[in-house]
Amino acid sequence: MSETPRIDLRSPEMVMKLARMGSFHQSRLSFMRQLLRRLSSENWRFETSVFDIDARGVGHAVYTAHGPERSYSLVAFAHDLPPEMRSDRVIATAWDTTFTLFDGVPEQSDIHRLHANVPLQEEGRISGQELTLSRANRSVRLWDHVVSRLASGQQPDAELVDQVGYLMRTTAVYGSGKFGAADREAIADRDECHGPFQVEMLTVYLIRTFVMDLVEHMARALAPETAVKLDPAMRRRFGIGNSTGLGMAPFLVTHPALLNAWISAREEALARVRSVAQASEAEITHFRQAAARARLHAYGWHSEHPIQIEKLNDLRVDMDRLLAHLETVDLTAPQPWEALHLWAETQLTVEGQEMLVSLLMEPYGPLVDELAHCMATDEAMCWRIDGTMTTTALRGILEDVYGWALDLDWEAQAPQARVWYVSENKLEPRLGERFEEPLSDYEQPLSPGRDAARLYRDLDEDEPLAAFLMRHPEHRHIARRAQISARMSYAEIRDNTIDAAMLPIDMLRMKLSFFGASEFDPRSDRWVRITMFQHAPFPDELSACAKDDWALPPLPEAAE
Amino acid sequence: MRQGRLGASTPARGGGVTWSLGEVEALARKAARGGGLTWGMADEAAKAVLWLVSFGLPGPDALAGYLQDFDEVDRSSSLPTDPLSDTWRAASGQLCPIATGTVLSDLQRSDVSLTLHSLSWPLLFLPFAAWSTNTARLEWQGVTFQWFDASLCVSAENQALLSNHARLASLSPNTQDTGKHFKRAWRADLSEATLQDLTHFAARTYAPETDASKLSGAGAGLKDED
Repeated sequence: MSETPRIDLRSPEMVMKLARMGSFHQSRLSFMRQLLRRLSSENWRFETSVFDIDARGVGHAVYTAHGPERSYSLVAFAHDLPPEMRSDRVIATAWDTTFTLFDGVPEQSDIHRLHANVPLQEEGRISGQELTLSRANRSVRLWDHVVSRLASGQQPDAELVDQVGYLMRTTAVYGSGKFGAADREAIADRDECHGPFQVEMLTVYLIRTFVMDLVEHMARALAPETAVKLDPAMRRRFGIGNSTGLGMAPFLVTHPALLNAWISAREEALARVRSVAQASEAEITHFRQAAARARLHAYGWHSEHPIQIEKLNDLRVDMDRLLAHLETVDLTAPQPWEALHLWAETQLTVEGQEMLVSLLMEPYGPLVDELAHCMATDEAMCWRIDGTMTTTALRGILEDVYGWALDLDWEAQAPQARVWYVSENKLEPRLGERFEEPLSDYEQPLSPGRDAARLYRDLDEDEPLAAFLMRHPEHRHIARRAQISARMSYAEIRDNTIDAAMLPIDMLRMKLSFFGASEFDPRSDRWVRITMFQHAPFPDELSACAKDDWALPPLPEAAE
Repeated sequence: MRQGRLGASTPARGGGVTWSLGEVEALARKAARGGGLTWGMADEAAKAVLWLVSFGLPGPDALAGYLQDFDEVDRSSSLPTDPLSDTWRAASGQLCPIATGTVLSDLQRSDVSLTLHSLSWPLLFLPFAAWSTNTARLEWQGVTFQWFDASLCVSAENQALLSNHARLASLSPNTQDTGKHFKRAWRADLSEATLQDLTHFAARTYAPETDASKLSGAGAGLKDED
C-alpha cells in the first residue's frame, strides 16, 4: 500500500477544543478494544473458581483471567442492598456489588481481608496485591425484568434491553494506588498492564461477565424448575453501565503528557488512513459496513438530556448524509479517505466528523492498531522546568499555545465564572460559581488559559525563567505546562475550563471515548452515564471474535 | 475518626497498612499547598517526597516538620541571595529546602560545588540535588549521601537524617560509593503523627461544604437510581 502524499495531522487549535473533544467516539485505539485484542490474540484462559452466592444474592465470587505470564482475579462481593440506599452518586455508602482486581490468585486469607474492606469502598483499605477497587448498582427496572423473564423460561424484551443496555452500572473504578492499591508504576512494565487503564478495563470486563452469571443465578434461585439462561446473542446486547462525575475531568488537565499521547495516537491514525493512496475492495466493504452499523448505533442511542438530544439529532442526520454520500461517491478513486474527510469537514457537524474519524480507522487495523503502543507515557519525563529558557522564549510559547486565552478579557466575569475546588466532605473535585460562593481561596490549578494570561502579563523583562520564578513562584505550575506544551502539541486543552458556558461533560466524554465507552447519556452538565463492552464477546467467545469487530451494533441480518 | 480520606481509611481488618506511593504524593501535594506553597511549588514538594519514599527515606516526616517550621512564614526571603555563586545564603538566614531545591534544579548548573549556609530540613533538598546532577554527594553534619544515576547510598547517624537544620550543607563531586545502598521501595509507611500532621495541612485546601455546593457542585441532575 502506498502512502504518498502524506497528509498532515490536524492542528491542536482545531482538535483541542472542548466542543470537538466532547464529540469523540470510541475507536480501534480505545482501551477496551486494546484489551480484548490482547486477550484474544494471547489466548487468555478464564475460570470461575468460586461462585458462592445464596438465593438472596449475597456472597462472593472469584473470576480469574490467566495470561501468558500472570493471572488476575476479580473478587466480587454481592450484597442485599435496600432500595433506599441505592445511589450512583459518589456520596453513596453502600452498593449492590463491590469488586477488586487481585494481582494473581487470592488465597482464603486474602478473601477474608478483602471481605472486610472491599464492601466499604473508600472507607476500607486494599493493598499492593490489589490493582483496582470498584462497585456497581443494579439498573432496577431491567434487573427485575430479566430475572422474572428468565425465571419463567422466557428471554427478556429486546427493546427494553436495548433501551437500558446493561444490568449494572459501576460508579467508580479506582486504580493507580488509590485506597492502598498498587501504584501504576509498580506494574507498568508488564506487557499487559503497560497500556493506559488496562487493569481497569479488565476489571470492568470481568464484572460484566459476573453480572450476567449473577442474573441467571438469581432467576434459577427463584424458579429452579422453569428458569432458562440468556441466549448468547441476547447476552451480548448487555454491556456494563458506568456513572461518571466531575472527578474524572481534572485528570485530563493534570496529565498533559498522557493527554498528548492519546490524542497524538488518534490523530496519527487518522493521518495514516487519510494518506492511503488507494483503497482495496475489502477495505471499502469493511468501511461501508462500519458506517451502516454506526448509523444503527446513532439511532439506538438514548438520552433524555437536552444537550445530548441535540447532538444525537446532529449525529443521526450526519449518518444519513454519510450513507447517502456513500451511495454516489467513488471510493476506488485515489486517496478516497482524504476526499471523504474533506467532504465531512464541510457537510457534517462535529459529531459526524468525529464519528468519521473513528470509522476511517475500522478497515485499517494493520495501519492503526500498533499506535496503541504509543498511548502510555511517563509524566515525569517532561516534568522538570528548564529555568535556562529566557522569558522572551516563554512569551513566544504562550502566544503560540495560549493565544486564544491571551485574547480573552479576564476582567469580565463570564470567562472566570467557575472555580474548580475540592470539598471538605467527600474530597472529590467540584465546580463552583466564583461570584456566588466564597471558593476562590480553594481554587485548584485547573484553568491553564487564565493562568497563562496572568503569567504573560507578569513577564516584564528578558531574563532566565529561573530568575523570574524566584520572584513569582505563583506562576510555576503554568510555566511548567507551557514548556510541556511547547514539546507536545496536544498536551493542552485549548479552551477555557472555567468559562460560564463550559460543559464538564465534554471533558468526561473525551476521556470515556478513549476508554471505549458508547451511548453517552449526560444526566446534567457534569455527570454522565455510559455503556461499556456492549456487544463485546464474553470470555468463552473471545477466540471466535479475533477480528475486533464488536464495538458497533451488528446489522440486523448479521445479528444471529 | 480523623477527617480526610487517608485518615479515615483505617482498615477494618488485616493490619500492616502501607501506603501506595501515589497516595503519599497526593497527600504531600495537598499538605504543601495547605502549608502555604504555591501549587507549582507544592508539586515540587510532592515530587521530592515521592522520590524520597521510593528509596524508603522518611520524606513525609521531613515534609511535616518543614511545613510546621515554615507555617505562616514568608518564604521569599528564604531563597539563595546569589544563585550564581558557589555559596548560598538566605536573606532570612534560613534556606527553604523546597525553594532552594527548585532554584538548583531550574538553573541546571552542571558544576556541583556548592556550599549552603543554614539549610532547613536538608533531606528535602536531596531530591533536587539528585535531579540536577546524575552523580554527586550531599553532606551535612552526620550524613553523607552519594549517588550515581539511579543508585543512592548513605552513611548517616541516627536522627541526623531528619535534622531540621543543617548549619552547613555541601554539594560536591562524588568520589566513591560508601555506606548503605538503597533499594527501590514500592510502598511507604507513614507514622500516625506524620499522617495526622499532613492531613491537617491538606485539610486547608478543602472548601467548607454547604448544602448548596453539595447539590450543585457535583452536579445533581436527572435521577440516578432507575
